[in-house]
Amino acid sequence: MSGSANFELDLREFVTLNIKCIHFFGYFSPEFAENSKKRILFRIYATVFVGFAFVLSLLSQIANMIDAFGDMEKMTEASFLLFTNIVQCLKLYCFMKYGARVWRLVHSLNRKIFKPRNATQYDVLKRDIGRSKIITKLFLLACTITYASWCVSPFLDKKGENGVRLPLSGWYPFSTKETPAFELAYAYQIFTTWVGGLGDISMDTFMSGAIMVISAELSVLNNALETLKQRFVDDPQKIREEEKLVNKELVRCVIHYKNIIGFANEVTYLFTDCITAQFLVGVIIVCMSMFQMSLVPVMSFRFFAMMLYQICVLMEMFLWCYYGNEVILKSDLLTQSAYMCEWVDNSKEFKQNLLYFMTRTQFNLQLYASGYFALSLQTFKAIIKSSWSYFAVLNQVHDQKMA
Amino acid sequence: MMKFKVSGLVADLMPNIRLIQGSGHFMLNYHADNSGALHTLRLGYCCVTLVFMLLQYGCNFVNLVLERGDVNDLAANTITVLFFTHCITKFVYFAVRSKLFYRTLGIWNQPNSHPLFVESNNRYHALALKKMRRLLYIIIVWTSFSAIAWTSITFVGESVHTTKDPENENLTISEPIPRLLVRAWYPWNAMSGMPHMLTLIFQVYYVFFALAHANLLDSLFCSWLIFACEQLQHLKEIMKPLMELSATLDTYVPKSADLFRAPSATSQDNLIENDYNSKNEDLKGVYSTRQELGGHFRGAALQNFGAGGVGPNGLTKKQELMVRSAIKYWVERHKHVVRLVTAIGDAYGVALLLHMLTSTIMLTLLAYQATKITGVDKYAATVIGYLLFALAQVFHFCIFGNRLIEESSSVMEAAYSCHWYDGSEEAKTFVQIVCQQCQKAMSISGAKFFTISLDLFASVLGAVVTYFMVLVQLK
Repeated sequence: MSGSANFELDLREFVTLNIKCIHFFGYFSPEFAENSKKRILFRIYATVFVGFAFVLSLLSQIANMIDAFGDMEKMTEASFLLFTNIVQCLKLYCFMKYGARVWRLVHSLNRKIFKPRNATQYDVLKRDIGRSKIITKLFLLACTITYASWCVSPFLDKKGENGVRLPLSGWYPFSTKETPAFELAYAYQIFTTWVGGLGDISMDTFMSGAIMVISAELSVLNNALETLKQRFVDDPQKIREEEKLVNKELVRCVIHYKNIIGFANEVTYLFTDCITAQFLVGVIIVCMSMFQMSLVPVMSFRFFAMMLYQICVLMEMFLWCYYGNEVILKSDLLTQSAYMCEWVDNSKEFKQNLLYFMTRTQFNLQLYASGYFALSLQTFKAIIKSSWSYFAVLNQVHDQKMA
Repeated sequence: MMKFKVSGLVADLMPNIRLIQGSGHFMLNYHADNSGALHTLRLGYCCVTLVFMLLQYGCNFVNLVLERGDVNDLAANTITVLFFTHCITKFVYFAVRSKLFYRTLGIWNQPNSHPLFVESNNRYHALALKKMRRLLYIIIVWTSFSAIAWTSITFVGESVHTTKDPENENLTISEPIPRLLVRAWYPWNAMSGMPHMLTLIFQVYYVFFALAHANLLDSLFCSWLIFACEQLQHLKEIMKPLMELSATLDTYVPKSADLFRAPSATSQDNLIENDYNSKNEDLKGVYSTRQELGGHFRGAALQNFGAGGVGPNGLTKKQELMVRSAIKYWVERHKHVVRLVTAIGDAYGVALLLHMLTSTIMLTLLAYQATKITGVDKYAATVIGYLLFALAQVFHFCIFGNRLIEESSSVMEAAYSCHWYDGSEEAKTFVQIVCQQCQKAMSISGAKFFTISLDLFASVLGAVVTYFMVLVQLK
């Protein structure tokens, strides 16, 4: 209540890094005034950049998929990147369609009720902001390493192969066997997949940053509830005032919870399609990449490249599921935190309000994608299990075909 | 240095603590004399133990790598290595997270008390103590028995292993190996004579201490749970007299009228002071409150009774205060138990997760080994011994975790089954809030992945049996 000036914190820091990345890749326009020159320039930049780097590459992959239909090995090779790009398309669409709402969401992070009010809460928020930034950077780095290993793998694996092949399959209107067509295609592939990968990661980490905000705010709320205390005074008149004050604090906590739920609903509404698509397609992607891994010898670079890719995809989903799980656990803790405050000596009104609050917090806050996939560690386990069983089936079918 | 005085959980668990210190765990607190020289000596002892454990474990691992050709040997050695991985994990885990353990041990250093409920408190405390001692004896007996059984079975049967015949690739011959408790590679020849004797003694020490490391920590965890459960029993028991205390005199005459003739009849009403530090990270005790006998009246602040001094519930101001203080005792004690359980979960949750991971893999391999049992021989005895030991370890903490869940969810039952309808408004609100809190049972989770309960044990047992059945069918 006092000294809140010392605890000033811009909660948008949770997602600023991600937003900057997404701006750079042209997926999300910054807030310029309507019809300003900057806005038009940005639109042109975005169209050209995204069009060249993303749309063309996607078209080439679709054409390749149609071309390779029927051959299982070629299809799996063509498909795993294609599916990632299709999901990325969907995410792009979400950001573009809901651009204004996303901006409102980001600015609403700084609402007064989310701000920390004591040192512990400030530390929690600061620590979580730091974590969000580190996770974004680590992910971008992992993505770069994965794509770097893909670049390098055709050169390192070429013993026994008929020349150097392109790291990824794609359909081009020209033959890619001779130079300079090969170099051009190679450079184009590397550039577009790298840029696409980084853009994808920045959008994913933006979403996970939003979920981290919910989890951090629930920690703050837990702390606020536990430290609810009526100040002890001797004068009976002053006691009434103190009762009113502590009651106000409790009501503030209730409103805080309402705000958190509202924020969570907004996040879920905006990104529900992306997350669902990522889960569904993620199962297929992991299955395909495992299949690809089984086709190449274990010690080859391509194997490691595929494994890195698989780990990246799994980690994306794990991040959401882990922080969704944190949200569930922390909201479970709210009843206990409310109980741990000093309620025995407080007024009847306080106890009644506390009871209403504790009745509401019996139901934890679960984040759902499309109303069905709960973001939790159970979902993640289910994803891994499904990928493994599909991979086993695919392997069997492939072995039978070979035999 | 503060003067050495044990209280709370440390006093209750002193035998456990001494045994843990004796087995070489890095528990360096709780000594009367903690001067530099002795401290260094103790630290040295722990480090030496750690070095011996790691050396022997390394020898086991090298042996695993060397003997990986034969599938049977590979399976057997992997099981041994996993078994001792678990023991080493517990040892290292304690060394790394000892601060959390100290915090949990210090949490009960200053519990509150209330003159009305002292007798019940002491009774349940004594009960908890008795159960903790009994558990400790069982663990000691079990560990010693396992170590002795392991040593004796070494001397039964031939000490050989099968390798490929160097002359004929398709045949296998049996080659003698040193008669030791665990198969390990040593840079010296341990076949017979003095080296063999010394190696054998070292291995007996290793096996006994490794088992002790794992089991003693588990028993510390279970003792904490026993204590928490007995506290919950105490709280459930005093719920009824508390309600009777607050009941209106005209509807129900509590025989607790003689409770009002409190033993400390000369003192004023005692209230627990209202300035707790609930999040005090001090090692001396998270929970600190002082009971002020001779009291601190907030009488004027409470109810504005009329001149008659009889409140709306038919109780006098003095009785009202007594009820208030009793409720406060109950709530603060309950909160204290919640804090204790949270601290236990923080301290030991990750260890349980690691335990379950190693056990799952080990039990799967044991199921495979069990399909190769042909008769009642040394092989069968060792496989069944490993199986029973591993399952017993899991059962050990599952049963106490389950009891905690049962006890904490039955608090709501107790709150409901007391005569709450006879109680005062304040008592009824108190029961309401307590019921809201107790709807969700307190449980220990293995680092948020799973809950420690008998369900876990049942699923582990079921999985082992399923694997066994499937593998037997496949043969």
